[in-house]
Amino acid sequence: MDKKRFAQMFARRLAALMQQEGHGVGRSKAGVDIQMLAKITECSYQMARKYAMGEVLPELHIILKIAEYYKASPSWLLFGEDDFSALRPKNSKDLVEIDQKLLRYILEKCLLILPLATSKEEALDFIVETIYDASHLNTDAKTIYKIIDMIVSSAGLIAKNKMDKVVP
Amino acid sequence: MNKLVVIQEATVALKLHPKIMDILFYHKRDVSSGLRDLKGIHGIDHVAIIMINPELEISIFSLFPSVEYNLIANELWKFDRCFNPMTLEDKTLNWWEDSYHLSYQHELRHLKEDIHQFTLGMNLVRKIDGFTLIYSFATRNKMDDLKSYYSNLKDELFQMGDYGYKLIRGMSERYCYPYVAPSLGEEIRRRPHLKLVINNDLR
Repeated sequence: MDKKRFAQMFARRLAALMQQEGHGVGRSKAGVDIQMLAKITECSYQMARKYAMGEVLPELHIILKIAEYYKASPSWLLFGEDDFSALRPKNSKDLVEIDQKLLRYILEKCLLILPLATSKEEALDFIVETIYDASHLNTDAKTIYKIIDMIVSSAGLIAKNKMDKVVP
Repeated sequence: MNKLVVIQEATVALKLHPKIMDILFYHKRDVSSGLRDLKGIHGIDHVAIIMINPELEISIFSLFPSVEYNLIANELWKFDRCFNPMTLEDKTLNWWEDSYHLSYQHELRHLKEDIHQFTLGMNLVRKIDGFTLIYSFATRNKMDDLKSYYSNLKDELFQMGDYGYKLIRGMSERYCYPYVAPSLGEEIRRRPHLKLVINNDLR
């Protein structure tokens, strides 16, 4: 594998890792928070950007800093294949625990409004965030179901109203 | 009148908007699609905009409304100075953990931070002619000296908050009556009360 390809593959794994840890930035070309990467690696913004864009492969001590910060395997960061299962699935802050019945209820409700979504990305964000909120509400089950009904039905209603305004 | 009395009276006067549940959840899709743009910038994981009108009525527009709902459902918001404009100075950055009433600090910290795995929460305060806008941010960032990191980003966090407020301002309008949600940099205006006069006696 040539040096350029090697740096690009490193950048892909770095982006996946940072995004999993909540340091992704959708609008950024590199897809990650460069300022955060600069802070972690203790290097300049410009250099961090080069790492994130796959233009330069960091020195080993820099890779070790990243791996240590995210508690990831340095060898995976450097040599890992496209198998992202090496990312830590346990104790991840993005792990959401939810009752199966409640999850099914949310998905059933969301299925009804999917045709009204403006994009696949927006629909997925909405569903994931609704699941997050439902699983973090500190109240009784009846209220949680009521809140889900409110979130999903209003989303459907608002989307439908917007569509009605567009279509004459 | 001493400051403590003023603060106590203000806490009594503070109230949640009667439609706070609608504000939190009915508009979730639109609020989230706007505030979602800010997620990830500088490691920010949660964004909420708290608007307190001149009558001390609180509206909350949140990316993850479960954060604020849990305080409301458990009546704990009254013990969190993050919701009290009398204790918040204009253009300041305040840490969530410094805002909890001592008697309820553990419950507040658990519900607001621990269950969401936030490592730091902060508020930025903007007062505009009687309105208080509170930009509330939280992160799950684990790096050392987070406070120093975010203190240095204060101006950028204000810009992020202003951006978020502009996105939700249209929605907030309908919960402001009789006031008009302030435009940043503009003076607050009351809606004019127009009276329709019909003269049936015209001959």
